[in-house]
Amino acid sequence: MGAYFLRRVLQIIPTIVGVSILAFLFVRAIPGNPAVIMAGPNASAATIRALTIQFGLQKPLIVQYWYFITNAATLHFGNSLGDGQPVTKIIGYHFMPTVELAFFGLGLAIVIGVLAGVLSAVKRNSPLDYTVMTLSMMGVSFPAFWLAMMLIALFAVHFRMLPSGGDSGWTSFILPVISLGTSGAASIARFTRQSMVTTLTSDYVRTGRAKGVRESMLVFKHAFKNALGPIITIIGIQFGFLLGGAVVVEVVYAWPGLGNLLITSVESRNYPVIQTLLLLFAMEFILASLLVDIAYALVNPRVRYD
Amino acid sequence: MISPKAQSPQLERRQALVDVRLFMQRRSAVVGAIIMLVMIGISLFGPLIAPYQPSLPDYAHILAAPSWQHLMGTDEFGRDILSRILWGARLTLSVGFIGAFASAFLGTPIGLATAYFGGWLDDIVMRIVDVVLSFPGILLAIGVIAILGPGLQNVIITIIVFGVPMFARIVRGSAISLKNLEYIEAAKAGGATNGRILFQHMLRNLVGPITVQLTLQMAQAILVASSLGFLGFGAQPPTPEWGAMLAEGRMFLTIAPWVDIFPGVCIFLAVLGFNMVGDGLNDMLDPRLRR
Repeated sequence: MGAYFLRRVLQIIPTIVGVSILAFLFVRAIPGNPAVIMAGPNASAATIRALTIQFGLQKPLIVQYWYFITNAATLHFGNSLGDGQPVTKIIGYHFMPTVELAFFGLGLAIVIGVLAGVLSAVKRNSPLDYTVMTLSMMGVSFPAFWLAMMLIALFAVHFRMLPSGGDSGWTSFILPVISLGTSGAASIARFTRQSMVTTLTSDYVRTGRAKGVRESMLVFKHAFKNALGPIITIIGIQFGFLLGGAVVVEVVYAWPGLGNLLITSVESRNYPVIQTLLLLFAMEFILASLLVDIAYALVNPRVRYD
Repeated sequence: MISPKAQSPQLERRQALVDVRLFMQRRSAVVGAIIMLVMIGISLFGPLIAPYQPSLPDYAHILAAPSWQHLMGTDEFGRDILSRILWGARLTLSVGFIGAFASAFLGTPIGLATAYFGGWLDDIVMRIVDVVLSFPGILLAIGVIAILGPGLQNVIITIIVFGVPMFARIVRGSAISLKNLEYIEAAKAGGATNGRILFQHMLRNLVGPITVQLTLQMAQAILVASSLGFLGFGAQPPTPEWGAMLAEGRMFLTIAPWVDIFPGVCIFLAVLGFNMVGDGLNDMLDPRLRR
């Protein structure tokens, strides 16, 4: 297990380096002189010079990259263009609201998705199965931002039951979490069903049934445990979608998180913030994939010897 | 579909008939195909049947509720929502089509070549694919928009930036299983060039998975394009793009919900249609489910 763990950790290093190069090239990819664009239309020559020095734009590209990663390693990402605050500090303000939203969204998606998927697989080809599968097909096709708007129209405006936006108390979590978790729950339900059907129709489950093992035991102990691998994989993939979905959902609910920060930064062309956010999101996704692989190896010892 | 396809035209035609029959047996796939065809029909003929001009303001009927005159109501400029939706369909669908087909066109050869040649080419290209796909879909799109600026054309570019590595990865995965099959060996022994093996012998047998991915990619592209439109990074007002219409209507959610309901339903249906067809094709091509 230790060797597998180490190998897997080493494998992500080239990806991390690649992601950092891409994030670094991001500001350089803007047509024209990056310093002039970042400084805005009414900037003085002094501002442009300061930005040139801050990003090391007068040095060769490879040196600039070295600056970038050594600074990034110590969490120095430069200053925001609007108010001159350190990017790290600004991201710090917006970090927790998004983490909370993503945590509950993913939690909802996992609980509903796995439960619905298992039920569907156990009662396959029943009306229940068709209902779950129809709902999940609809769930993956909803644009998250539209679902968010409809939920506001219904529960905040029409019934006046829940707040329509902002982050004030636990009730303000309900609608954003549902908007965010729906498509994840639907995806997870579909994969769980597929994975469970495969294990439920396998020979060892049939043998177990012939030997008189209780049905609940067969479903949860034998089939579910073996179906867990693919389910964990799809949960990892959903985490990436969730980070993306959080952006639009946060905008609809005026949620004070990283998604809203990203959108306002793109609108105001605040490139240092955009660059850091992209890097952060990619790192979170890479880390999540790593955790998924390790969890997979824990539930399925066979992969460790590949 | 993993087994090499028959080469004679008659056998191929019979196989195509079997494929069609298998597809028709799946109710959800047929429903999806009907939705898809209706959407394509609207995008082709929508402007002809639209009762009003899509951008024509009518200040006498601002935010009018659905009625016989305006079946889906009007927006804050008194513009007929049904007409705007009918005009907007071709924007949404063409972004989906162009984005998905361009991704397939560029990504498929990359996937084929990396699978077939392997070695350092495979290592390097697949690392690049991993890096690009490490950025969650819509975030990558927003990043590209931040560089290129908003607009429908740039939305298509962002979809391709994400779609090409996606296709490369999926085609490579399917192509690797073909690579060591006997008929490829036979073609090699027969002196076929690499190009012929890749694009004649291998590509032929990957039509199934590529078609599935193409349909699912269209669904994704429509979702991403409308999300970007909603965020104000896609088509700009007064263009009747569905996502942009939702962004404009968002302010009137409390007093005129129809402005937000109908464009959203259309995005949902378009995505649903392509997803259902892709799903049906996927089941159809799965040899375990095939009978």
